[in-house]
Amino acid sequence: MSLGLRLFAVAIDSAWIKLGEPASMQTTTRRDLLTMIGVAAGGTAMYNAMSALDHAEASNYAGPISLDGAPAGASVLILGAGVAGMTAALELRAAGYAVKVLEFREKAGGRCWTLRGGDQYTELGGATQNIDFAEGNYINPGPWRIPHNHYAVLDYCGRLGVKLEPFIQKNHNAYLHHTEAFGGKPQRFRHIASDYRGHVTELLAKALNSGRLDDMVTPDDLEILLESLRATGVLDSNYSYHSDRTMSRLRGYDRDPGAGPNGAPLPSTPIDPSELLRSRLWDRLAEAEDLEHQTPMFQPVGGMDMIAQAFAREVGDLITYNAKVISLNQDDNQVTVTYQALDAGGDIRSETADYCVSTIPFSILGQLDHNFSSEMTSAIENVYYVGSSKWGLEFKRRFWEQDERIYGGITYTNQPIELISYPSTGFFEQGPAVLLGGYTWKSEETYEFNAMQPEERIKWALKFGSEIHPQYAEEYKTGVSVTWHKVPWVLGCFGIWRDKDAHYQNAIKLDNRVVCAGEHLSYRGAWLEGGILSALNAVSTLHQRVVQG
Amino acid sequence: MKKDLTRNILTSIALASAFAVAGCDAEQSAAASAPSNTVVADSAFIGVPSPAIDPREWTDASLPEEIFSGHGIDFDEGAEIYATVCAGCHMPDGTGAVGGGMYPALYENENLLAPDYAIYMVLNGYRGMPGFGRHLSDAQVAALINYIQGGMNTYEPQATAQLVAENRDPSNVYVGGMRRQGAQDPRFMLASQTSVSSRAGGASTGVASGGSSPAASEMTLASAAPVAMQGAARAAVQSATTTQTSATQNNPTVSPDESPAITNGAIRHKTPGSTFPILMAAEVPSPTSLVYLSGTVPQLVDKEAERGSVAAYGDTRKQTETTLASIETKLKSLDLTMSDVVKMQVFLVRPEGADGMDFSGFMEGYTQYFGTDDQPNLPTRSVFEVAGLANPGWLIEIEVVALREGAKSEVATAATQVNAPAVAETPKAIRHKIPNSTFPIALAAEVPSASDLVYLSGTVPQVINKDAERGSLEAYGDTKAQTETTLASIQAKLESLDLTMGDVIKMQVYLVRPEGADAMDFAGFMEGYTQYFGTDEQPNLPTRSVFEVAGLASPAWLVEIEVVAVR
Repeated sequence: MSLGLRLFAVAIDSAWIKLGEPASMQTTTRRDLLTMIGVAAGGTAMYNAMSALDHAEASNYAGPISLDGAPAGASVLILGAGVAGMTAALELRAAGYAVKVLEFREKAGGRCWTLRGGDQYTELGGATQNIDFAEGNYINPGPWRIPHNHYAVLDYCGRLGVKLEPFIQKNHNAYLHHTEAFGGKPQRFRHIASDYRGHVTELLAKALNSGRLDDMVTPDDLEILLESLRATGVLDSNYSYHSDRTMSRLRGYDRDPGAGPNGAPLPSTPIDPSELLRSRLWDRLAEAEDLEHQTPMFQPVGGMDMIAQAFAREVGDLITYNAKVISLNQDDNQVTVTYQALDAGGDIRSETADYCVSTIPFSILGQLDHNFSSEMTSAIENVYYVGSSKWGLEFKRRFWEQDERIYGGITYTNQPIELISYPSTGFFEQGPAVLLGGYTWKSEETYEFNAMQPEERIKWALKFGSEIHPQYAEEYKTGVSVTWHKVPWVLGCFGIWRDKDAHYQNAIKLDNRVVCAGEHLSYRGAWLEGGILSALNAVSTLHQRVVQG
Repeated sequence: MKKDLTRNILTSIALASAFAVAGCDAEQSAAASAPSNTVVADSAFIGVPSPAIDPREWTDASLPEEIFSGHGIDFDEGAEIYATVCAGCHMPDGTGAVGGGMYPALYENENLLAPDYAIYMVLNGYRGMPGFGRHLSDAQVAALINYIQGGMNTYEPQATAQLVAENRDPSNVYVGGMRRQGAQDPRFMLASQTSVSSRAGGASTGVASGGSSPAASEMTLASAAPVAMQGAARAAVQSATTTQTSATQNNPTVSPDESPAITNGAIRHKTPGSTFPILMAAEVPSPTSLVYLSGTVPQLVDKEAERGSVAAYGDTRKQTETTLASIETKLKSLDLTMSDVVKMQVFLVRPEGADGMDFSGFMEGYTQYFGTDDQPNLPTRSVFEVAGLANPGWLIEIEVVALREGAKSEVATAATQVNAPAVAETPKAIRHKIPNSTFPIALAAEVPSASDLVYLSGTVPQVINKDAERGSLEAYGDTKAQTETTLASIQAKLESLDLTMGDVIKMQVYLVRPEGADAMDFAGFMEGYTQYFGTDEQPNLPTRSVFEVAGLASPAWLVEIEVVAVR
């Protein structure tokens, strides 16, 4: 455990509670603690703490895959033309296999999906939304940002010519909002972050200066530590965090520095520590600190499905669309898959191949008529799919930029929509723009949104969003809502294992002649990176078997 | 009409497959879920474009407030819970949906005739369906299922909050408001039963499955408190004079086509509509002998691993396998088989780092021995998570009761032939020694039907230091001292019933970990125990199991002991 972590734990135990003994501290959850550690001790402590808890992992992408050895004309049938399936198709064909792909949808990409003006989306239950965004505007209902350390995705983007641009995850001028804190008035991220760090470092400094931590810090280190607290917390020479110009350099001013008679800045005043603590707005401070959200992040120019389109340019000729797989059976010689040709009256057709790579989500694979081994069957049945809801809301103008100086980034709220993310592109343009009006998963509210019709979901998102941006009512133009349990080709957002330790290794094996792949078969669940890494592992496993006979 | 056709198709699929509960065989469910050719019609949705939304025209009344209360799912009425949660996938009218895969119809789905199956699904989920145990309280689950049974369908509503609680896995606690708070793991305490009762000579004894465990996060059922008993304990007491076929209060319906099977001396009552491999109840007619086995623990599987480590015994599944293998061996030595087991209590320890006990790991081991083609007889069963067992490497201990058909004399003969057990001076019970062992407990105790069983409430320690603060540890002493006063107290109770310690045939011991210790003080307990059992004056040994529990009714108590005696 790092020094910062230990010290901070002490601070929680002793000094902090004395500030007002807030009841909420009695029920500090692990997540709260991690969040506070991340804020107080910086990214390193957070990373160390999270690594110890197995939450932060680096991608194990080892560069472009090499499938050496002749496949001797072996044929492979790939189920699913999402990013995992198309990765497998691309690499296997390049290695000399005879590849075919079956895809349920009318186009490639799976969950790597972008909705634009003119698109139509029909969810389970039959509700259809006609997307009416202005030219060039879009929303990504699935993956929407790429971490800088998702090396496989970034590498394929490079190889396939997908243009990337920065995705703004953290914006100090965006808001943190809680309906019960500060009268429901959203607070600038910068104020909460700066005050939280200032108050915590002040407390630590006080504890150090009063000798309460003498058994934990050597006298030499003590001096440096105090110096560092003053620097990082922006404390004054008496180790105090209070309204002055020094701290205002981070926190912001009540009147910004300028020119003319009133050019001199006026410092701002920190929020009372107890009120800050009880507001719980610190809850989201470290959101951008974990490995998968650290700066910089990226997004494809024009929408996430640019990645899907790029893959489809390479392997689209291998894909049979509108093919709903209904059975998968294998024997010692081959794999036979039957499917309904949805664009041909539901005709039952079949494909046979020497091998098969199935990227069908386990939510659906488990419902097929299949003859997987009992180990694989158990693994398939071990995964459930969580829901998630997202909204793309188009407004007549970029009021968040024009009125509130928020350029990209994310506002977090305790309301069911969880967050609002402002577009990371098209800054300062005058026309309509689309923001992400909410992103939920796992919570009860996700189920509640899922049970609603699109129009009702959009109304709720507008209502919640207008608590933060009153301009919503006046500026709203059009919107779309996607809730993943109703997405026909997945029946959920991503897979969660009930007992991953027990089943994961069985699930990634070649099961006779079939190997499965997808985000659910990785330790990068719900990310594109997981889907690609899993596909690469699957084709390597398959290739090894073919080459070795 | 297309819709009616779809409904029929979906219904037939759902009937066959949708709700096969854990342990179903893959072949059956896979075959059943093979979609019909006609289903494709449903993927051509009839789209209706959304009307334009203008937020300026809203009034507050247009959006009901209670749906997003901030406290999770806040509805109490089943229809409301269904409409706001379940309808998203299973659709408002319960007809399900079909896309690349499908959501089964709940309308006209006869799997839903029995509540326990629906309870399992709602609490735990199955395959791609998430469980809702953390989102819905017992009362909400019951209300929801009663709506699906009696509101959406025309079935008899049968769910109760109590039944839901009994079927809730202890790791699957209702939390509510998931977005704002982390799930807290439950403190789970074992129940001890509450009354003294004896088995009437000619009556049958019903034993009922307790499901997995109660759901309440702080369930403490102390012997003094007349609160509701759970599962097997309740039914065992309640059924002292009962002869009805169904022993549970909450599930009085046995459908006519599920007439109970009489096998290996017991009338085995299946849970209607459920394929889960345990019985609802087992009825013991006379003349049949009850055979109690001491708690059985796992076998060493890795002799290289550190002594007392989990690695030495394997994971929960492995330990379940070796424990059941060991029980099978014991039974065989008594000329019995797994098929004679009518009652089982399973005590699991949470593996390090896990959120809860590994129930699925246990089930994987269990289903190799029960409900198989070779061994179709099912026992009644309860599964509990306990805080610890006598060895830190053990994740499981299992206690079973088996039956032996036939008259007492035959039993005695058979037992003598098989294992040459030391037949106690009293013929009320036959005590089978553990071969080649001096450990002072019995391998098994066999109770012929002519004997009466006497159940004692859990007995707790006595104050030994009256000057110490009331309710303090000093007042009751350490584990050894508490064991001594508890056993002295049991002895006194037995004497008041004209019985002695020599009549005890079964004992369950619940120990609390002393403050600051790593585990329960098993050695201290043994020091007290050996003063009463296996001595020259009192050589009769009971069957026994010892568990570490999270707490007892008084924070100062470290020991509670439950015994069964024979008359």
